[in-house]
Amino acid sequence: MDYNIWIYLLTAFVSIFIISKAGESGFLNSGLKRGVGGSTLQIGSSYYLISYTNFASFIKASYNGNLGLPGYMFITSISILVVVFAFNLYKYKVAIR
Amino acid sequence: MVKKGNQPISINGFNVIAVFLVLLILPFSTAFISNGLFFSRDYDDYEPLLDNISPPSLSNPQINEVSNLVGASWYNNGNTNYTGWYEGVGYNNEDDVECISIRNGICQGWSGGASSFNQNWLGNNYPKYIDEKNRAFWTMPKTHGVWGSSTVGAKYTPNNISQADYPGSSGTGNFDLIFPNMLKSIDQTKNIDSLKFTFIDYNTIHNCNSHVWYNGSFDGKIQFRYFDNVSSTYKYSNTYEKRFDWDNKYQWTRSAGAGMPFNTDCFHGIDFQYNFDYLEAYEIMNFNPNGIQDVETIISIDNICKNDLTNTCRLNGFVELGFNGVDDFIISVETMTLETAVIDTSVRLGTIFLSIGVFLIAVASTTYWNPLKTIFGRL
Repeated sequence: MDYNIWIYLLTAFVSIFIISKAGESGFLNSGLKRGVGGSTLQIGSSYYLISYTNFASFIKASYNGNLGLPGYMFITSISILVVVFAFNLYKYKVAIR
Repeated sequence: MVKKGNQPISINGFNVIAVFLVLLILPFSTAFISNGLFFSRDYDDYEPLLDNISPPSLSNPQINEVSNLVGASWYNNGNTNYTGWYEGVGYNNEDDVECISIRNGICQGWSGGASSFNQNWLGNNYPKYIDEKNRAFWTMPKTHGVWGSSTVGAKYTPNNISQADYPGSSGTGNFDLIFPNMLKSIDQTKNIDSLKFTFIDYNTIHNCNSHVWYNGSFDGKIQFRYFDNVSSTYKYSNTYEKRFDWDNKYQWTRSAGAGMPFNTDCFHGIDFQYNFDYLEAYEIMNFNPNGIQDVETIISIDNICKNDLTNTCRLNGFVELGFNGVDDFIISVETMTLETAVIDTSVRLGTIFLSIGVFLIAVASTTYWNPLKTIFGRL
């Protein structure tokens, strides 16, 4: 089990959203630029969260049950947030409605 | 949500800011909880460990001798087997060399004579030195030694290796020590917050100014384990690991005993201090259902690098860090503790608040609830 899956998903959806909005504003007006920009943003933000913060170890501790019921509550909340972001992006093209 | 046109921020702009805030707030919140920012900590108030533990009971040593030890035993001593070397310089008695190499607490016997945990332990009933901070320092044989006799009792007093016989290194792998009873003296209502190990090569005094001192870095790890009677196996905790800086100049004021004068000199020595965050402390606190007092501690030092003109790494057995070489060294272990209730409350409450916050962000990201409209719509 890769405990960082939540981080990868969260940063992926955020990156997709930000790059698509940047594209609509004419900032990244080619597919290549959006691809490179989105990949850079996703890799950079997930690397930041995993390497420079303890967010990943917090998720791991929660998933493994080390934090008990509060940890499971946290995993559930993060999962709901990821699903909501994904649904909003698919349905409305924005992360937050 | 926010109308385009005269509004200072577009819905796209609001969305981008909002998702950025989510990415920023989440790691800050977890760091806030893990670092225990609800409560201030001052890493200055260490208490000695090992001092208040009863002498070892060796009534049943054949089962698991290490569990009876007061202090420490080598668990891995450099991962280089020098058995052949010592045979070559004249140690040809099987019992003498059976514990030259130790892997995961098991002596790698010369000819199948492996026995567990009977090498190199810290077991004097009195400390070698007391320093000006009232820390007790206990004698510990270096990474490997030879036995003077094959009798069980004598195995607890290993002979030092002569300088002439020493191969020049103690190994290129990890140096691990196990402290089986170290945490026994911790109060039932407390949990470790920080552990500090000090290793000093007390046999040689160096000139504080003219001696060539070094600094560098190493990987330091701490792991805990306990014996689970149900499964008859050891349960191991997560490994807590960081990169540490070292400086082998150890200026130290100590006394050889009560009433003896204090002297200040420079030695080869290092501090290995691990400060656990609240998340780690919480994990350790709940690791053994019977409490932290019955948990054994394994520390590891590896990937030792030297910051000199060569900037070389993997030096391990070649660096003057206190425990390498011949003779013995001294060790002190200290801890800082926190009330278990403080850690428990901080982590549990913090995680509950964070979970509720994330859930509210998720709901606010849907069309069902718009907190901005709810708050500002009334204004």
